[in-house]
Amino acid sequence: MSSQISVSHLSKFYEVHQKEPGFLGSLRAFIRRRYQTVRAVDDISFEIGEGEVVGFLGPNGAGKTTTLKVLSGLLYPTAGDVTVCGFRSFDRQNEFLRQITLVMGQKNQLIWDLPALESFEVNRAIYEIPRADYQAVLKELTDLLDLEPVLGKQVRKLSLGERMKCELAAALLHRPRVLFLDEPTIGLDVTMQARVREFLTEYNRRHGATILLTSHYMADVVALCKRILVIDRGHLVYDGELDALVERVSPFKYVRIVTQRPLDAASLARFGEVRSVDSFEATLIVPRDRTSAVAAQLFQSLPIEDVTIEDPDVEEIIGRIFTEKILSP
Amino acid sequence: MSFRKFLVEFRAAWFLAIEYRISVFIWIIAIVLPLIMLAAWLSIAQNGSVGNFDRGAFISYYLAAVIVRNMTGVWFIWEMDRDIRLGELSFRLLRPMNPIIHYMALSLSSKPLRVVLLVPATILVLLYVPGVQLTESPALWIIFMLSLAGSWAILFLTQYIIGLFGFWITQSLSLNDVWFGAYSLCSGYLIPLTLLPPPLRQAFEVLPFQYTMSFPINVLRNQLTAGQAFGRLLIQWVWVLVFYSAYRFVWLRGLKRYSAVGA
Repeated sequence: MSSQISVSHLSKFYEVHQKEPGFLGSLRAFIRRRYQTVRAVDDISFEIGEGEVVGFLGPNGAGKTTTLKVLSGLLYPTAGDVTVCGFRSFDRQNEFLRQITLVMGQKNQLIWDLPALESFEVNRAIYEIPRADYQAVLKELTDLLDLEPVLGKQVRKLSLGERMKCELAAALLHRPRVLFLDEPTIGLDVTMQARVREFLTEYNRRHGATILLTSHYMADVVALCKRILVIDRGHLVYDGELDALVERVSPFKYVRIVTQRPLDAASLARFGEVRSVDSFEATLIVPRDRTSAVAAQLFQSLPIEDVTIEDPDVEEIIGRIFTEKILSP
Repeated sequence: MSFRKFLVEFRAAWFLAIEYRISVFIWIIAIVLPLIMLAAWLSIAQNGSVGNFDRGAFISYYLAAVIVRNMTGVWFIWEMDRDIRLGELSFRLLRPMNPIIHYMALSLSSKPLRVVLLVPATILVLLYVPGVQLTESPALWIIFMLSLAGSWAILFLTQYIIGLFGFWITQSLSLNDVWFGAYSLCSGYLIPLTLLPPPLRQAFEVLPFQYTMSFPINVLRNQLTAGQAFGRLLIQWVWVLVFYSAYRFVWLRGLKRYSAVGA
């Protein structure tokens, strides 16, 4: 697997001026601005191979969007090297721009007062897509995203979900090899989120496109990405498989039991840590490697009606990483 | 290839102009400043003439001013300011096309509608208002057309440069207001330059503004010989080149700035 995205010791610092509150503060700032350096991204390195789908996680302000902007060539790095598809991103050569795309769920790049089809037409010309290819790609995207009914409607009259699908289509008309997706499902309802996820999976499968995406919805990441990068305050704190992270951060499972007679916490303590007890139901926290043994013991000692073994919620795990600072740089 | 990109951008911008056609017509009619000036001059010149301007000359002058303003005026800086502040310029930078092409298309998109309105209006004035005279020389008409293109190019480039200052400051729009003030006075848009006191006139002579208004008006009003007009046309296009170089200079620095502080 050849490396499609290569990031080596990337740093991006900003100078931002501090706005002091109040009228006097703004007057002071007018005369003499005070600057502060923000280390948005601080010495991170990683490689992403062709066709990989990688999730980029981190709390707000961790440096995810900054990294995506550097990778797509919008920002030039303070230090370090970035290569995408064999190009230095920041040079923004046309051959490079034709191979990538950036979708930001919170921004709109379609022409607001015209039908989406007009924006597509503009992109066709700008990316110099041959007419026949354009027709084929448009047909494929229309089928995959179910765009037929919305193509002729003015963008401003579309629902958020419809617009997002058009945004994705517009961003993929030139069939980019690398997709940078910043919160592509933000604000969408659950069904539409699932629809976008299915689409991205299918798109990746068909075209072997490399995808780097950020999302606040763990379901996106779980469904799409085997590998994740975790960034916190500018530092890369984890790079590896999502499953491995889950095991490392929470090396236990939940064993939920339903019995025929009421339970109490004290009698359950010998099987594992008790997470909750509610008369006939209880949940135990059990180390991963002991779950089957514990389940067997439970069957022997209690009048069990039902046992379920569950992984902890990924959302919860990732939340713990940041609140408890489990992965420190 | 760039021209084909321009055409498609123009097509989209034209559809937008059609979408907003009512507003476009209102904007066209809203160019009333020259008409107000005309009314003022006509009342001053009631019993004779001012300088070498009589009633017919004033009407011809401001008729030409309305035509030139409509054909060469640019109003895209608000769009540009919004694109920069909201970060939407980022998307334009990620496409394999210089964003200037987009703004050119935007700025030219309403011109056909303006022609459609101006041609019959001009013919009506010529037919029914006594004393109004425009040139009948084909050579001057050709030079007039070229001078409109040059005037538009100067106004477009200067407004684009002011728009690019948005990379550094948040007040590029007020800078544009200052520029418009200078333009209104120095170009001959409000007052014919020949009616200004000589020292002021000589000062304005060396500035680029007159090439955006006074010069095309004078060509249209038959005030120059073809030879003189052609000479001035060359100077006008030298100004276009000067502003084009200035645009390249500001653009490259602006991009660096934009990419450094957060797109």
